[in-house]
Amino acid sequence: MAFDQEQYLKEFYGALHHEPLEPDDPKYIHLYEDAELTAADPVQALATTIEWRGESKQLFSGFRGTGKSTELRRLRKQLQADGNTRVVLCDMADYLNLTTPVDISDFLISAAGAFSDALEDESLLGKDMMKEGYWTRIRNFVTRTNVELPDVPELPGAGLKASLKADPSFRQKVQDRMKDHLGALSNNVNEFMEECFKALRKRHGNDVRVVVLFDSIERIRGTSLNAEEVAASVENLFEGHSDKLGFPYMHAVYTVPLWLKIKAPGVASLYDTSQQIPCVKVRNRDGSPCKAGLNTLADLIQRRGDWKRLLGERNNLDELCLASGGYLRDLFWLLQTLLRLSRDRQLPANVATRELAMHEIRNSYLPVAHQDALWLNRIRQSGSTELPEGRRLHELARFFDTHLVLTYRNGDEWWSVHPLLAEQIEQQAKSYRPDDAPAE
Amino acid sequence: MIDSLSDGTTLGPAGEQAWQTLRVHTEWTDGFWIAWLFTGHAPMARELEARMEALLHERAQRQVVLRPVTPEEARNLLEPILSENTRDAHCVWVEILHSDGLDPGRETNPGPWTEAWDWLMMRANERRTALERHLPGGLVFVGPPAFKDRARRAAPDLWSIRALVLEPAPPPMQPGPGMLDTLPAPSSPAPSSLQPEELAPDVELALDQAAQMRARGLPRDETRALIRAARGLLARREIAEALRRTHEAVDAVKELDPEHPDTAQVLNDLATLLQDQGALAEAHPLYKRALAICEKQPGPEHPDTATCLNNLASLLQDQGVLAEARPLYERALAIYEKQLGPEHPHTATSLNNLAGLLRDQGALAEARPLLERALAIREKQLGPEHPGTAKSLNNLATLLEDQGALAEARSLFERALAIYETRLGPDHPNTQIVRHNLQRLLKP
Repeated sequence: MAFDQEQYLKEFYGALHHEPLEPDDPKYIHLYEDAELTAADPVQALATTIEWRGESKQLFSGFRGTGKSTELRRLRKQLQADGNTRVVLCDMADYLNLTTPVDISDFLISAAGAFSDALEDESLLGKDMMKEGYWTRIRNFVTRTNVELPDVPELPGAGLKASLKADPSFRQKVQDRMKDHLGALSNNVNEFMEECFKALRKRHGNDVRVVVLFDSIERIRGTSLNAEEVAASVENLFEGHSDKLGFPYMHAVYTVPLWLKIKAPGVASLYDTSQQIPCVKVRNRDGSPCKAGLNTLADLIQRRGDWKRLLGERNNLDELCLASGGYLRDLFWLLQTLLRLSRDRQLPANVATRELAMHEIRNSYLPVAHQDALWLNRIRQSGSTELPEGRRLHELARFFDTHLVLTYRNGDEWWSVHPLLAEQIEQQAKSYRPDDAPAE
Repeated sequence: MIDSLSDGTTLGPAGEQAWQTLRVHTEWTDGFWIAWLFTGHAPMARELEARMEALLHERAQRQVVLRPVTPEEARNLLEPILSENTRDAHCVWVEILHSDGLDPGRETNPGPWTEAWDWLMMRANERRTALERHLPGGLVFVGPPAFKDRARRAAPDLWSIRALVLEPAPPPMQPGPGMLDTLPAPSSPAPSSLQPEELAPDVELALDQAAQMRARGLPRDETRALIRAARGLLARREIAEALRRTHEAVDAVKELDPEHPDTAQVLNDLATLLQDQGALAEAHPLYKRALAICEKQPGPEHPDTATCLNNLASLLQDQGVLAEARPLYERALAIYEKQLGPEHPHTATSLNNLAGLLRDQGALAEARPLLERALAIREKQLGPEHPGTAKSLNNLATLLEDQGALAEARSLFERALAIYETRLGPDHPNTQIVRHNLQRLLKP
């Protein structure tokens, strides 16, 4: 193969490596710039709320691989453009155990602790300005309220943080013993946040606006043994304790699982707004191709490599975009597969090679269990989640997690089975025989 | 189902293709990436790992291989994966090829290895960011095929950033012991003996013919010639070139007239060629096209259609889509029974295939009567001393062994071994495999 072709394929391949982009990266593209797509721009909605209100709490959700991290960076950039806003990113994965039930008490302690740790960054408060971190404060709180925490007589801060994350029995004890002091704990956290806000004002001026992004909460997910219990705990946290999740003078954004608003439809109304990142709309709800979405994707790909050399006609690119369902990661994966397959073949890739790439991606989704296929087929037909009963929610969550079901938005929201799977699902559902059903 | 006999096993065409994918990806990628390799064939995994090692060595990079020997060790692998030792490793190869028995994918009561796999996946998923920060190159998880769905479920975040999912079919096994008999393509004569030594087609001649046919605008004949060329190349172990010619055939086959009576056969032949090379995804649409043609003409009840059903089912089985394969095998069996009779050799083969699938699904009790029927047919049709009968004996014995009926299994293995030794000689691969099976059974 010509060196030139190898080089081209290799460079394009590398440019499709997924990583969150800063908005000023040449590869970055504003997904909702087109007038037809602006209505679906979740970042704009989050920013507007923050800009128009003095304090707020909002929910934000999105599939992995739809550009959530990139979009959060855009939010940060957009907000910080005024020079007054400080955006504090708290990755809750560093603080919470993501596979066991979460409770308001340990969540509040973890959130305040995470915020406290983040403020040590020089661009925010710096280590010196932080008179007393939250880990010390919670120790004092505990002493004051006579809450006996287990096995932490000296309660070294780091010890508490580590134990909360790593030791479920310790956390359980904390939850039990805090139960009667929730109001006091919440006040304690608010007091701390307020002091932090004051310190930030002192450092950055009176107009400072503080936005805290509590990231990774959507990754809380049980195992096959406790999935329902964990889901219920997340629901309870955001629905039952929403009053404790707003902080004085600050704007809090929580990344939450997509299924939350399905399980608890009322939850969105407890927050200022609830936004989600949909997939790029490549089809309209009636199934017709959406030109604006396809154009956006063509632009996005062009910034990573010369797709015309790989694919020739624009129709061929559109075909891949439609097959990806507008789910960016699969689109990148399709292209990478195609580039790899093209190594010993002529460019542009012919239909057989394109189909092969699609087969390869489709394969990674297979097999689909029969029971799943029946449900997915109903989603395919109706465009809604068709959740039959609450206790199967974790199964729906699994569809989201594994991208069997994708979500779109255009004023209203709808759901769809991944296009690469649609035919398979339909056929499987058709050929279903009750004998195949596993015993309950 | 049968332990591979040889060390230093070649990868086989599917393994070679997986290696190409892995190699190109490694050469083209900087930074962290994650891949899964699903195979039940330990020698293949070892070979791929060794090649990876050699590739990295060439690039003055290193690999860390983690191969736990107990479930407990597997559960706690995250620590070594995130240790100082891996900080400069351009590939961390994590191989857990143990399984807990026949159906490790079963949801209820997973065994210790299955649990360990789930746990490791879950923990890795949780520490995704740490992995990304820590590892400068690839992280390859290797597990048996039944662990694929578990990986998707337990590690959805990691799965969503997968760079590669490799599921190579095992290298063509020494014939004989496998449960699956692949039926011939429609209209091809049934194989008369167990393993007719196929004459390798003359590659140069075939290529020359293919070029001529192309010039004359005869895609069907061009395809046939290319298939022959690819077969010849495979026999010469020129794997990459074989694949290239196969792809040319895939292109040519697009032009075939679906109404032509030969089209289904050409498609089947080509799909089988692809399947043999492990290009399962590519074979799938061709088998489906062939089936669709046969359903129309000669019709849904024709044995050719049964053969198409059988081919597609065997592919789905290779792909691990067991639930989908089953109704196809059942339909094929029903057609053969009705059209060719309950005692026809094709019916026996079909019984064998369905039994193989049931065994893969863990339904041993259901598989057994089918294998017994297949054996009875072969004994009657081929005679008690025929190698075909020996094959059936071996299949049934393996199942009995799985069921714990060791004494019965032993006597059948011994009978099969005696037949092979007499008819094929002591050094024939089939003889060796059955001997190996027997030795394994006798091991305390």
